[in-house]
Amino acid sequence: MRCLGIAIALSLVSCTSGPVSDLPAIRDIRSATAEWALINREAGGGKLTKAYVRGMRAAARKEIEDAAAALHPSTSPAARHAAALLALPDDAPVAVLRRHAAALKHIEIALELS
Amino acid sequence: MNFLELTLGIMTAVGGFVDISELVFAAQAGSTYGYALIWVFAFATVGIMVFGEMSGRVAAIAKQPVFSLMRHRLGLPLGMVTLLASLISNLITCAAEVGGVAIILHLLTGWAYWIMAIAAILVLIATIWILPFKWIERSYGLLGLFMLVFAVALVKLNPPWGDIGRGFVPQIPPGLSAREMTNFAYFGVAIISAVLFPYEVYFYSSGGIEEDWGEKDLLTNRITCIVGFGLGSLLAIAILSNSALLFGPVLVGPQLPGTAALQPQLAFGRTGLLLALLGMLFAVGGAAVETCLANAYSICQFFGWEWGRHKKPWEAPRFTIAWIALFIIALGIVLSGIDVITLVEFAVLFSILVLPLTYLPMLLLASDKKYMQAHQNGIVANTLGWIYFVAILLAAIAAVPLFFLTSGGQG
Repeated sequence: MRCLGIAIALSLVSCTSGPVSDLPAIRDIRSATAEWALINREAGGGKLTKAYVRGMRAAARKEIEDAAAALHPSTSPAARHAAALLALPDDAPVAVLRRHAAALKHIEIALELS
Repeated sequence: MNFLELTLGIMTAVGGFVDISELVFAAQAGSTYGYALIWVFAFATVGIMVFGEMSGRVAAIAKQPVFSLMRHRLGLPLGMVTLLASLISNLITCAAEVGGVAIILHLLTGWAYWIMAIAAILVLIATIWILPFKWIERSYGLLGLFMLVFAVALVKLNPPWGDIGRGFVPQIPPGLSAREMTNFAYFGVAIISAVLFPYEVYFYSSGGIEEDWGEKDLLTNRITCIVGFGLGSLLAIAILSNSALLFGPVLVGPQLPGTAALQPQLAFGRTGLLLALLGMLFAVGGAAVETCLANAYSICQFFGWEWGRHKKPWEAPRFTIAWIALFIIALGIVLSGIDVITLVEFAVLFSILVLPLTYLPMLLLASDKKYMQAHQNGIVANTLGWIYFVAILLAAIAAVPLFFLTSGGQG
């Protein structure tokens, strides 16, 4: 029972302190970026409606903005990616968005292994 | 047994099965863990079949709605705690559904989200006010059948059927770190909660009383629960599988409620997108109606007030005021700016905590020969009922620590 308590406490600590605590926000930014890339790919082929594209791009941008605000420090590599993403136009090239998503995924993996 | 009624009942159950929580969690589960969480959906679906059938049978034979039962079985203090907890859980769920409807309308029309939230509430209030009970449920359920496009898309995309089949076998993916394992467990608990949402049985059993079910309806009740919920669950599994196939490989872990609509779009283009959005609109809109009415039923049944949509609104004034007020509070929550995914996460958390208190009194009453006479639980219903009760209890105990350990499935 005591071991279980210690294990839970350790897990809590590992989930809530240091750069690891940025993981949820980084995941949000990575996923929103990948969603944005998918929208832009399909929009490029004229396979989506204008209202849907506009709404989803705005939602992705807001998701990145909100998640970026939770990153600390704001100068971390993930925060730099978020800032770069927010500076992109709505119809940013799919390849650029995918590069950011892949880079964020690498940051996630590194944090998970740390 | 009227076959037309039965068919409509089953189709309604199928179209009304998926709500905003299942959309969110099925899509996220598929993109994060592939097909490994399908078995949790299947497991939880058998649970909702068992308790749905039980609640319908109790309504038909004992003529007792769930909250009247709770007050008698749990006593006033514990009954009141359950009432308060379920009111909070249903209200958050209702707000999540209303927010979901507003987002889908926003994506369909391009009009502002807050305008769509207000418009959604007005339309939802109007449908409950105008339509007879049977057609409230049926309209949304049948129109929700547009959701079938998700299942058709899966077939068109020709997924690895063997992997999907293996997903039905209970498993934990190999090689997960401790953190990933915790996250996997959180998803499992969230899916159980989303499939077994307490509002579903409050609404279903109250609906049975609204429609004056009796002994003659028992077979229809059983078939509707087993076939309707079973087929409905396949829709949720199709969303999960599409997500594993389309979203996981491109790093999408859907954070935006509108992303799921891309699944049929990727299979059928713009038509697929529109059908998906329409299906989601009616399925989520139906769930908004059900959660709101479930809350109004709960309050009125607990305090012994007049209730029911079979009465004119002014014949059950407290009931009418309750459901309108609940919609307005839900709208207030949506307009406060809390995002829908956060609402969904809290709805799932609160619901799992309420589930044991919802299902225990029903299990006890359905086994009670004094109330149920020849229709008390048989050995199969009783065994399954207790197995699921223990599973729900364990999930409820694990839910809060898992929620905080994983930041609501993110960590």
